[in-house]
Amino acid sequence: MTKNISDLPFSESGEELLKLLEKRIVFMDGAMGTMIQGYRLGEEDFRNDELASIESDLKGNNELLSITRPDIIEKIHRDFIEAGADIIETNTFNANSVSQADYGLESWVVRINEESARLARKVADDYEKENGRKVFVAGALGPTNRTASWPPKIEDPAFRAITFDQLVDAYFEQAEALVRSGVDALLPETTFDTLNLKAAIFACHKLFRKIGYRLPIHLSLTISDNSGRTLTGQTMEAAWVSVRHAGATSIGINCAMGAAALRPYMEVLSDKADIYTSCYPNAGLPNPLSETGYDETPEVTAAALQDFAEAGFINIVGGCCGTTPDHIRKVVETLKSYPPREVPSFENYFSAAGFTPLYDNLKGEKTFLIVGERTNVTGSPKFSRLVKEGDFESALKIARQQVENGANIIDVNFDEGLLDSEACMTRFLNMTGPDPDIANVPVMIDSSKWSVIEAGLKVTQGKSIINSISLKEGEEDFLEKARLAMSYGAAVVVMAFDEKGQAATKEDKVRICKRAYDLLVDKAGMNPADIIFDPNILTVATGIEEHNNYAVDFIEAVREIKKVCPYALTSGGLSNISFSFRGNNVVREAMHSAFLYHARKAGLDMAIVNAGMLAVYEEIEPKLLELVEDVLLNRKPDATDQLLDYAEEIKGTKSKSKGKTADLSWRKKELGERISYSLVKGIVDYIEEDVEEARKELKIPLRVIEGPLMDGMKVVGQLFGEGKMFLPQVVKSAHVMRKAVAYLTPFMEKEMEGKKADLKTIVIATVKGDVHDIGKNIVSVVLRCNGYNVIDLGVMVPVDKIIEVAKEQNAIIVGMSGLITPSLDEMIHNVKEFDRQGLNLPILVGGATTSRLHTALKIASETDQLVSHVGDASLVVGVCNSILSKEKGAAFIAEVKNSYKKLREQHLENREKRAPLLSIKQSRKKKFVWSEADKATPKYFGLQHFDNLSLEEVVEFIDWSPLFWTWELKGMFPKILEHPKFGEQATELYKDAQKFLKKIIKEERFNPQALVRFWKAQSEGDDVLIYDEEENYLERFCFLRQQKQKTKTETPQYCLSDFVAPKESGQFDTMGAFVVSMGHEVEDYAAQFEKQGDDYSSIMIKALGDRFAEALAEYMHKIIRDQAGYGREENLSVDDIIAEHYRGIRPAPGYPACPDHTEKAKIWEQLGVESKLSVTLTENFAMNPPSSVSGYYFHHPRAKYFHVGKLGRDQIEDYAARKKMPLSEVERWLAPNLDYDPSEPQSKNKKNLKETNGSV
Amino acid sequence: MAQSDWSQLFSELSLSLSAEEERAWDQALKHVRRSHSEKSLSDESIFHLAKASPSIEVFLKVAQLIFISGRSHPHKRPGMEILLDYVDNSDYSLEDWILAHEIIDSWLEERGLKAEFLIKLGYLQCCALSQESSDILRTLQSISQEMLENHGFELAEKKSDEGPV
Repeated sequence: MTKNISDLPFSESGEELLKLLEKRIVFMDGAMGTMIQGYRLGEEDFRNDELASIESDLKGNNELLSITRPDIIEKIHRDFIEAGADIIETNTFNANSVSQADYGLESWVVRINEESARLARKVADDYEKENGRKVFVAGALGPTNRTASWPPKIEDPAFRAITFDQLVDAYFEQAEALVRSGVDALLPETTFDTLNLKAAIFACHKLFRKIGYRLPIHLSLTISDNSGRTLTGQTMEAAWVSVRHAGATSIGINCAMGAAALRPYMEVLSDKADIYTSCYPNAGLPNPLSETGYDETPEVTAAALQDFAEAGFINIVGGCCGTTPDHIRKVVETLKSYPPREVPSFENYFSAAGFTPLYDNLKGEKTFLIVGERTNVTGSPKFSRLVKEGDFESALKIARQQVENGANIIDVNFDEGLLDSEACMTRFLNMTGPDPDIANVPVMIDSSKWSVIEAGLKVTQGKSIINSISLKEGEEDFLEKARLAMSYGAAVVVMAFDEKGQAATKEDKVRICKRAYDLLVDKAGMNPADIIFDPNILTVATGIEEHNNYAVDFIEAVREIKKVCPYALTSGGLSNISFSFRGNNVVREAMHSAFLYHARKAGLDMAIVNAGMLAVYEEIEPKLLELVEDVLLNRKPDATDQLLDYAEEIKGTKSKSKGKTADLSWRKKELGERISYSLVKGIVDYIEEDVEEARKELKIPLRVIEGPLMDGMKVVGQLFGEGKMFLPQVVKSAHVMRKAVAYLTPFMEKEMEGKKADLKTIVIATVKGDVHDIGKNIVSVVLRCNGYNVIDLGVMVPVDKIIEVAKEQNAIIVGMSGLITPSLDEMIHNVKEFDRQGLNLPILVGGATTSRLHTALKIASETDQLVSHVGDASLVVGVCNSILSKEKGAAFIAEVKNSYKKLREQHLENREKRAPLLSIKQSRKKKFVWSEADKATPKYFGLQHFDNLSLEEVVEFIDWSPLFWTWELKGMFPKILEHPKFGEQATELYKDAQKFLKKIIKEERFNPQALVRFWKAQSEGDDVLIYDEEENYLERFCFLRQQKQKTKTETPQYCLSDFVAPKESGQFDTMGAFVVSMGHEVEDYAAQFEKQGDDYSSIMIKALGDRFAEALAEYMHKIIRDQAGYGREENLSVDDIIAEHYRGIRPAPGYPACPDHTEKAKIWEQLGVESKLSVTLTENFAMNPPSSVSGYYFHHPRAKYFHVGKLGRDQIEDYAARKKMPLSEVERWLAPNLDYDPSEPQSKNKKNLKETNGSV
Repeated sequence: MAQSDWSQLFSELSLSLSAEEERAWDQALKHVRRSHSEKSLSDESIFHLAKASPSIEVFLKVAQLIFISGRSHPHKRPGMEILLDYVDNSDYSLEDWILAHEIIDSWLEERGLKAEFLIKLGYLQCCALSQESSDILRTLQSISQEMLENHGFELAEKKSDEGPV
């Protein structure tokens, strides 16, 4: 049985190449021909004893040099590899029987290919052995010197100098020799005729089926002029559609007119091709005066390709004619740091092509496709007559008319007993091939004979549609044809026929189509979008009662087929429906139109029609329409008779309009509006001027605050609440407000003589043991903006201090913030203390690790006071206002308390349903098994202190997205800059951040430092024991293991210790740890702005400090990987590094893979952190200064980040014993991970633990 | 799947089912087995899916979405395999994922929107990951609901009458 290409495995080296392409831009070599030219070889170089008798001149047959002068070819390969090429091409561009026929050397083809492939293989392998870098060999398959879809002489458009079959044979012979001799990939290149390329693909598929595996195929086309089309007229997009069936690894453009000129065409390929893209241009146009014969220098070529890389167009680059090793070296140097193009993924869509592409459902765009039916000898008497008379020129005019009348596809059929259908199909399609008026659209090759269909497929360069195949001859025949169709790259119309005959009822139509669909998709591996079902439009109103429902059967069948056969299209020959009304075109057109209307609503995608004769449904005269629909929808028994008496037509038009908005000069507005404008827009420039004007007007300075300033801030608050203003804008507004108040303060002090304004006071603090305050600072600003007097106690605030100040200042609300998980416990403690010490105030809770659920479960349950979780700063004013509202306050408090009560109840219910845990014993049995993996050795085992780091280098590693989240702008960078809601604000924020960044770097405001140490290591159960270089034991790091039962039996239950060689292996592995920090300078710098009342800048500095610290951790990891060796081979872009697409991990204590913060203490001790970096740990193990990051390093190639998740009591007890820490203390530190309630009896907690043997 | 395996599956599934429900499940399982290739949905996967689905309707719907996703991306890994990988790398069970998927579907439906199955799984994966930095294990449904309310669903498309999703 014929195998499906997609089911064949890739060769091992093919897989390696695919992996490399996932990671980075891959580099090809340059021009073989150009380099050979440089040797100025003579005829004797192209000959040896065996070739002595060949009469023709062999000079110029470069492929022969692989046999006669292997030294030269070897040197050229070597030079390109040394210049940085990852892929070298075999010297086989013309080593095919078609091209070699010019020299009479057809019999040498196999040998030339074998020798060339072996030569390239040897150079690549030798280089890998010497330098450790893998080099791939691609078997070059040139386009030959003939075009299969284009006539050599325009006066005989039906003639071709080569056939598809001849090309397939030639390519098969060449490809087989290349693969046999060790190439890693096949490269049909410099394609000027897509039909030649399709023949090469056909040959490759044939070969792959023969050998039982496949190699990556890299397709490359060329364009001949600025129209961007192939020599035979196809656009790049159409060419891509025509070869989508290849299952190729990449598609691209080579040679042509120099790199820069290829930009628009690479852009198109990059946008449409859902495989990798390549570009290896020539060095511009030939110039005999230049040394290489071409204009472009390495710098010029590299710069143009750099532009493509920047635009994200390419995955593979190299050079063609005129490009030397210097070109490749420069290209590699310039592009190596760019990320590869991200391959787009589209929802499945239909495509076909002539010179241009045709789509349906691409990116969701639906089109109804019209197939012109008149080039069909069975349907058009005129076409039939012309063909029979041999007047193909006139027959072409009918095809042209169909396209002019709007046909998207033309159906071509020569099924007539007296015609040589194969010959007619070949001749007609050969003649339409070069005719741009016709060849622009794809062809539907229509015949009941497979040989006629194949004849058509062999002469069309575009993606055609076969009309049709069916199950009439059984499944085997059906699948065989389907697989052939796929190798030709055609879509197929499948008729609703099976072994028993044509389907007439809805049920039969659906049943047969679904059966065919499953066979095609599941057995033949056909793309569902390449299937078009024709469920048979049968004639209605024939006078036979059982035919009356045929239209309904078809429509309903279409509806059902669209449901059960996703992505397949539906079609039908429309004229059949009205066959009973021959001679009455008015009725027929109305019937066609009305039928299409209903069938399209049911999901019909295309129809075969006379493109010039379709009426508009809405324009059908109502009475006629009613009668037609009575017939089609089988609404009345006498519908046919009534319809026979009727006929008429009408038409209509449309219009458009435009609009524009004008800008206003806000300074001309009234004073109050100007103040409000300044506040809303965050403009400080005029605020003092306006406030002074207001002070003079209102006489009393406090009235300025209570009047226009507060009115303006109310607008800000309202807009923020409605989501029409964003946090950075609000903070800027606050800055304007502060500036205004600062201006008024001296006047007020004089006026009020020490009296205080009646503002409501809120005390806010980051809890003890935590140093993070960005979120808390933002909340403070927002509250101040809304008229609250906020007393911000800063960070690491003990509960006694909060209570003392709240009492002293008559606070009305207390707010607590925290970022690290131990802060949650601190908050619980604080609430209890508030109660104990009689601080009876509403409490707000916020910060990254807090949640509504935790607040409800663990904090609110500890007090009778209201405890309200505030998820983000935009909510805080609403919460405070509601709490303090005289009318609604009590109801609000009751509502919050009630909702938390419900949450607690729900949580208890959900606990019963949560995913079951394995026992720790069972989990350990399913550990990730360490094997003799690559144990990378660090360069140094001693402590490394990096204290002279460059901010400029670190900045490259910044992951920007979290900066936007700090400001509550939700989205990913850089996409967020174009976000419909946040885009404008995000762009402004980003610009501001860049300004600060420049200043920070220029003035060296931050002080990046890092401490790193590696140890020898062995795992012992779930722990890792570390040793010094002399193998003296130093410390035990304790880790935790996943216990959630996995769905897939083979998925391991991970623990970080799994990534280190186990003690019982008798081997020493390695493990590292690090601490990086941007220093106290971040807080000091931010404080300068805080003092000036500029919260915006202060928050921005701290947020940038955090970004820098994370970037520094990433940067250091890169250095460490490079030191270990494997990092130097990564060639990853910064984006890839940020996305952690590299070997090794750096998990941080306190985070999901190792949630225990207390283990940090061991790192601090082993690295002597406090003495070298002045980064300290608080009592809750938060790092101070906050812009610091710490963690472990694991080198194992399969080490991965994971979430330890919920843990059972059995593991916690075991862990406490290993750590020699009281169980209650471990339970406190790991509270968020506990799957049980420590206060509940053990029997109850065991409920979720499973002792099983397998998966769920 | 061999008859004995079906029986084993059935005995687990039908523990608390009435005879009528049992018949309905039998039909649904057979329907899904018939309409999916083994590559798209293995017997084991059907077993998982059925056990994790709160109703026959949901079971059939998810099976259908997996089928459609396979048809839309014939060269990608089967949708069920991707789903199970996501489930195993999260704190949640397959049942949690299916229930959360229902939340997303209702939210999209109410707004006349749609999204491909794999895109919805990607969304849920983000929801599940967001839990990692949280304190108490919240249900995936509640996280998804909150995510939808706060962030919307950027990759959703307007629903039309046509199209398989």
